[in-house]
Amino acid sequence: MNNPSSHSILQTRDLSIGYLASSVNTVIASDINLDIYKGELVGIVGINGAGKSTLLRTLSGLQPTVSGEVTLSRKQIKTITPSLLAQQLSVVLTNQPISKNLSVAELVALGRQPYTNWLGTNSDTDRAVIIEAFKNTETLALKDKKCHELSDGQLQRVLIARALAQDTDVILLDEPMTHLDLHHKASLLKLLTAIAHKHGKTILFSTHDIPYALNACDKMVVMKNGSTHFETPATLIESGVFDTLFPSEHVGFDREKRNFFLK
Amino acid sequence: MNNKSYTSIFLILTLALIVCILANLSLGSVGIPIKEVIASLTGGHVSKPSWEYIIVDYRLPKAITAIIAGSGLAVSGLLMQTLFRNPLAGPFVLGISSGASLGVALYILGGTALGLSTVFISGKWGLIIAASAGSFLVLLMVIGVSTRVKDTMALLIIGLMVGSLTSAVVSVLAYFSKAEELQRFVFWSFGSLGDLSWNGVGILALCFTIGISLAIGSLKSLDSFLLGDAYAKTMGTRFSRARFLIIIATSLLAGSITAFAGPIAFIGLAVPHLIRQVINTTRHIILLPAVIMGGAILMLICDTIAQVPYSEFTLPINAISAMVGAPVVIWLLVRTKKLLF
Amino acid sequence: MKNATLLIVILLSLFISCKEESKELEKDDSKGASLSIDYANGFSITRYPTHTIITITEAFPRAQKVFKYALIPKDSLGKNIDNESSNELEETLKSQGVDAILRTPLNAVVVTSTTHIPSLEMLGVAETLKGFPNLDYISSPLMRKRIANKEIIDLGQNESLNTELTIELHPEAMISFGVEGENKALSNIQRAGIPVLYNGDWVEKDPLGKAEWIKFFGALYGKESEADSIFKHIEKNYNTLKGQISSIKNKPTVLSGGMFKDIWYLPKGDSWQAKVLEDAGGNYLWSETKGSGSIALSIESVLEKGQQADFWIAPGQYTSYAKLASDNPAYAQFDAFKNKKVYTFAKYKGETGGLLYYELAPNRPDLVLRDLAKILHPDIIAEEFTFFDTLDE
Repeated sequence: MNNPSSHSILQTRDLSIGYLASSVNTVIASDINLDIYKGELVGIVGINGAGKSTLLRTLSGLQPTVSGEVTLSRKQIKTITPSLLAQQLSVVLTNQPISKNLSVAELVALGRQPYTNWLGTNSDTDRAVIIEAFKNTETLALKDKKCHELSDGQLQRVLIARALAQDTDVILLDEPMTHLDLHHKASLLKLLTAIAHKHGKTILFSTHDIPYALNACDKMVVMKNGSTHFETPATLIESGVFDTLFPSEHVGFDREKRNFFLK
Repeated sequence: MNNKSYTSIFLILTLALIVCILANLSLGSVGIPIKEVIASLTGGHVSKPSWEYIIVDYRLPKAITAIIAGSGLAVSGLLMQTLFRNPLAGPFVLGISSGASLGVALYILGGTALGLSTVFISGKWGLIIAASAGSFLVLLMVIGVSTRVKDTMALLIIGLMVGSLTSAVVSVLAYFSKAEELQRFVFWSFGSLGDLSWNGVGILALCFTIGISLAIGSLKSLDSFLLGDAYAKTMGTRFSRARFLIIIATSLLAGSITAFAGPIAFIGLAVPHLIRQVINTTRHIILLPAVIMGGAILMLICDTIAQVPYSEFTLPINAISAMVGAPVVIWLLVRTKKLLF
Repeated sequence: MKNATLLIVILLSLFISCKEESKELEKDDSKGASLSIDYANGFSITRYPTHTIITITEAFPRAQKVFKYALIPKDSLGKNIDNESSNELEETLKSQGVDAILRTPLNAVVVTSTTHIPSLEMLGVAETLKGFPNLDYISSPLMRKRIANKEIIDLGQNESLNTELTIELHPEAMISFGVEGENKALSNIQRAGIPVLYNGDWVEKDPLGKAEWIKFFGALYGKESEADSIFKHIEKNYNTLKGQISSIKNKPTVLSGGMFKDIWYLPKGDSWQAKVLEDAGGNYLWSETKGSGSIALSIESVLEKGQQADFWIAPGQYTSYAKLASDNPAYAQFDAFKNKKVYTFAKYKGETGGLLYYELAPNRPDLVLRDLAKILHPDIIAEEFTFFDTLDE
């Protein structure tokens, strides 16, 4: 029988995530088993505090696991050196203390750091990758602007361009659609879909916009009450996990419309 | 900014540096004509042997000390501002000059106040060793803490707290000291670039070279820190090691300068801002050499002013650096109306 | 942790290895004649056929290092002798580890304390003083005239001596007072070829010991016998008066000092001020305290012990009762204040504000003794005050 895990690019086994403390560990979610394949667009959803950010931070190596393993391209991430890991996995985060004085060109160029020499100078190859990243995110026109001059939507695209410049197989995004209006949410989702399907990158992103995710994603991770459900959107809807996702008698889920409504 | 404008800026900085060096060597309490200055430096004929001595063995080591002090402090300031993502950070934010002050206070004031006999470290290098030991101990404390503390901001606060603590101890020592000892200590705290022996200049230059080398080796990680700790880590920066190297580089630069020339405030904080207003980039590979030259130029200018040319009294370098630099920073910020950081 | 311990051990061994080594000059007493120094502990002078050695044993309190200065006479025209034998002598002296070699008598000198100036004047060599840090402190009228004629250069402040001007002036010697550790400017001056001699007169505890340092200057100018007779004169004045006083039974109680920012400073029992007070027939209320500097006391303990003292001598910089009272009402509580028995040395100043007392008193303990005796036992002294005076209203 074909072992599907031999093809998955990002995989977790019996993963528990949370916070390590000297006295007692806080476990936010446990028993997480994921097999994510190349080119998949995966959305992570759940109510506030369910552990979406923690999961992303653990998958990217920014936070240690409480127990269990995270494997990237068949190697456990804790055994991969930071510079090699950076060539395989990149992140797009919000609310980071980014220097206001950075120009868009400088910010995106930073994505090439895992590949440049000890001084950090960009070669012709680096420059080519950077231009590609600009083109794919339609941000070339913003190249010479300062980051603080950008709108939220533009900044998100630029941060994605940086991640693209890093040229990794996997990109993790933490709530990339927050702060964006409807129109920008939609275009961002289109961009992520294109990156996943056309360029063959594996995209994981967390979001509050469950209906959008249901429509666009190949698979979804639903985090609920400390456990995770990992299936295709259709299967998840069938399983009824969304019916009781919100602990409130005021919110219901319409399986037909694939949407929530107020009771 | 493109490469052409970088070239012209660096050209201007180089010219300014040369002019400042010449001015610093030519102006002083004793009026020496420029011809004689050049002759002393090139081994030509000098009218008075005392003039040659003054130029070669007093003003020249002083100028070199000024260049090293100005550059070293400016680079330290740049490193600290980037590491802590804080425009108010400077070379002494980790408590280095407070540690040096404590060492020097114990050395000069400890005798009366605590009944300590510091005779066993008396001699030529006593003061320098006391200052270095003080900053070194503070550094050990800070490093010990940094391995336990993940959050870089916490390190900043700890450095400030250590600074307050050592200042308090110094105050107590000063309170119980004799007037002459107090005067010696106060004069040390004014800073002084002159009268270093060539040996001293040599050791200072060595520390400077090592510190700058570490800074150059950190250029890449410094750029990554501009995006914050999380991005830096996911771009491959070896976070703890990079932070450690930056702290060591700063301590070596700021610590050695404080040990040999006393605590010189302001330069480390202001020069990176001055350079950033002039050069519109965040890339440290451009900022580092610009800050090195900017720091040297500013320090040379301040020293030339502090010598109060053609008069017998000199002003403390510490006061001059703030008096000259602060208005410049204020003017620049008012002009551009925003802080580019 | 292991690394930290290793680092601390390395640091400590650095400290210990930096201990100063005192250099021993070959003592050849059979050839050298020691000048008699009876009261001073900080220096000694030994004459050899070809040169003289001044040894400074206490350049600063608790000094470990001993300094040796060699003095080689100039020729009869006052020029340095530069022949084979004198060069050989220099080489020998250098190999024996002397700290400086000078040619005497000196023609151009820089001193750094006003207490050095009276010695120069008494020996008649005032015109050799060419530079001094902070000229305003000098009160001697003779020197003020020379300053007005621009014959003495201001070399800045003591802690930040102007190296350039000193090197440009290039005196034959610089007389400094020693401090622990290195003074950067002094080292630089020495490197420029100007010998720096440490004068430890300020360390001496005995009043006559302080004044005996005129013999140090005497040696530098080849005027050992003049210095000797001047000192003998001072000694005789002092001891005669002291003997006269010792027979007086009545010893008035004495209080001294004043407050600086809530702390009252007064001289300790072994200081020269306390000694002169005792010799003048006063009962200094803090004479039991050990040490030679100042004690720092609270106003309460001074009031408790000294409120009823008969005399209050040397209340710091105060010159009037009104100022005392307005600065701190506690001052007016002292009997000496109420009975107007307060005497100060702060009223006699030079042209530019330098106190005569600081300059001359250490060199003329006989005059200080006379002043104090005049305060405590007025009937035995007819002469006017030199340093002290009653306070103004």
